[in-house]
Amino acid sequence: MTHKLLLHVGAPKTGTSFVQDLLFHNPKALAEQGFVYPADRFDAHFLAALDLMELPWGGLEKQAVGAWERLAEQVRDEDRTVIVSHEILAAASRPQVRRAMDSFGDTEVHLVLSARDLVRQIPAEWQENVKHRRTVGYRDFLDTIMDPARPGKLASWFWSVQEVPAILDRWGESLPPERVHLVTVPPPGAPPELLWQRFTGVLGLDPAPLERGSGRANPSLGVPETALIRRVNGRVNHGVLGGDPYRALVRELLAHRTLSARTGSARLSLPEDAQAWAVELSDRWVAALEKKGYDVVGDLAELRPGPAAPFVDPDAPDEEQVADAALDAIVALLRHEAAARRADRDRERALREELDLLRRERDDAWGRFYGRASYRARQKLVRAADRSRFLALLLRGYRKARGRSSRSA
Amino acid sequence: MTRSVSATFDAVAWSWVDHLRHRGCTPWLDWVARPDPADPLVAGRLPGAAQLETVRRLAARPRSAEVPFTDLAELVLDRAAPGRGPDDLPLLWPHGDAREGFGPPPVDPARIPASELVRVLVGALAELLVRTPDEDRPAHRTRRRRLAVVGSPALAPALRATLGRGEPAGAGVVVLAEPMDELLGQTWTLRMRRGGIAPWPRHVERCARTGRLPRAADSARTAAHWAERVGSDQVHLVVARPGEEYDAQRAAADALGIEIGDAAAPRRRGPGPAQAELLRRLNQVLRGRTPADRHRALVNRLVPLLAGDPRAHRLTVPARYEGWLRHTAEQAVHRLREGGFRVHGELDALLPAAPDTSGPSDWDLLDLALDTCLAVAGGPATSVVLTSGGARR
Repeated sequence: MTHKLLLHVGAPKTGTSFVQDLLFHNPKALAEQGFVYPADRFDAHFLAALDLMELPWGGLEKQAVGAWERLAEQVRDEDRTVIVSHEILAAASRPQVRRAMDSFGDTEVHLVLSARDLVRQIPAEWQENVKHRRTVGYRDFLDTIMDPARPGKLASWFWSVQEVPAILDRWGESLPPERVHLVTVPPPGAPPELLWQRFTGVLGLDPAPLERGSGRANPSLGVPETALIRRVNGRVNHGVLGGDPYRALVRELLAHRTLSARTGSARLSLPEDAQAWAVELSDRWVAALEKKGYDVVGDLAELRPGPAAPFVDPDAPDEEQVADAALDAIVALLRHEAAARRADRDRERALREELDLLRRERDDAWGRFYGRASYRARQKLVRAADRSRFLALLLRGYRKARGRSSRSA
Repeated sequence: MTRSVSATFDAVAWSWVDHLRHRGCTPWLDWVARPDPADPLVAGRLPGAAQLETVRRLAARPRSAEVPFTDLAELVLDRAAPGRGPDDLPLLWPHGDAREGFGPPPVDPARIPASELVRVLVGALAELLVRTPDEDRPAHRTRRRRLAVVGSPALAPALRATLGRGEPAGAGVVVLAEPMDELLGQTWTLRMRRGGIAPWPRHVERCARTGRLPRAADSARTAAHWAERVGSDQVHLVVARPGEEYDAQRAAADALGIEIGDAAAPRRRGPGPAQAELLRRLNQVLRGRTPADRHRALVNRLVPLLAGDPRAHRLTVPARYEGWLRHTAEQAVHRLREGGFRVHGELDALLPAAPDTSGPSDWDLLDLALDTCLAVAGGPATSVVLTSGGARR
């Protein structure tokens, strides 16, 4: 019997990390429902996507050699329903999509794309750029993506992962529209579990047995916090901080674990001109999508932006707020450093204790050895040989016969 | 766009694709303007404009007649360009917009930036290389008697080969020193030759930030290292300015007391700046496609096929690091002067000089990538490479 693949290709910033976290941490609950999320590490599908799309990603691509084919083989070999999910797959070009589809053999592919309105996606994408070391200002970012020519890598990447009709057109080209599932992200203020319900609905999963994952998510930052990270980037780029420490310290410790907790600051939004442009573009998208006959989970109207939120310019943030965020960042780094030192001390103490224990064991062993009657007798004999020529000759003969030149007892 | 207009577009576009596959090189807008296109309508999705333009430019190169062009064209047309950048670009249709209201804007292929075409070619090159079967390695290498000629990565191997034929009279060491900017450039190209991916400006920046030059770019450190082993009076510092390779070889031979007769001027080894930049872009793709040891083997196989003149360009040190480099070079010259080495040539010649040529442009790189792609496709393993199945597209 042909088995199914639920291929979730994004888009970024639509709750994908949350979904992947739950799927990765619940293999047993999934298996009980006839599903499998084939990943031996959290980022397995990310690596597969890098391989498929030949994307360099700060050195991670070296771990991705052959990852897509391995994943595709798992998909082909399964008889359960397979779920594959990564948001950068949204950017796959047509030849890459063809290769991916071909690699699944006769598996029944269902495409899933989660989508959120542009007015929330645009600031989120800029913020994501900032969290990936970019220093581009918000206005420059907006001007770049609003340029119809889509100049440069920034704009082409943005549209490759955010242009909902184009993504579905690429990925859905070889699929009947009923196998293309568009999950819309509910508007602000909707119950938080609604999106998850929509996801599980389209996947055909009973969410009840699924336990919480690691809590991994991709939390958002406010205006001063994003401005701060952008300024930090300006200081640590160009070789000051390598890829790994940047990911651990700036993105994880500062952005995700520290600054995202400052929820009282102004949120990113669009200035008036960009808001109007986004609304007009969204209308065109909705009109195009309505004609396609895709399976919409939620409501296409949710892709139309809601009322404009007050705009606070992250290129000219309130400096006091930025300074306050910087203080929080310094405190977080100090605590991190203190914890690292404590851990170093603990490790050193543990090593010392282990060393002491080994020394005591060694001394005990020597003590037992020296205390033996046979050892004491031999020691007495050696001392006597120092006084007796006969015994000395005898001892030399014995050592020669034994084949050892050492004179120690 | 009405259905009939769309059908006309498809017909004209597919006839152009067919024209390109058969080594045609008429630009798209000229093709569109023809009075009577013969239009074989093919179903399916048109390849991207960047891929089509790349094939057109490949067809226009003289060497295209020497390769199985249709297969090569197929390989290029059926592949996405690696990395980030615009993909699936639609062709500009002078009679209307063929899009459905979304997707990237249509383009005139002739106006696609060279860097985008290079991206397509790098993907094709990677694919060609990855498809080549592994070569059997020789069981062992013939060991050449090693002579202590060190320093300039571009020149030292050639001198070792020439001088290795003679018998040295003494036990001296020759340190081949070149202007520091030249040596710094050589260390970068060497790294690209070995799989590196850092762009040239970042290479310079890293050296400036750490205050440490790669050993091969630091003649003073190299000389001091050898002085510790053989004594400073046995270290011959030969100043080898670009263009004066023959004199440098003669000086090195005299220093070591080796008779080399009328040996020709040594040829510099290693890729030039443009070749190294192409390797850099290729390395970015290959390291995500093959394990490190195969990656190295593939680059080794590619290097002899790299097109272009390695000396056509010189790397220029970014302006903000010129002061740092000059200061570092002056310190090095001072150390060399005080080090008690036997100097052959003018030490001041080791200070960085303003280059008389510019670095390669994207268009230079495109020419190089086109010819290199044809060289690889026309290589001995062509039939295997271009027809092997299971390759990615």
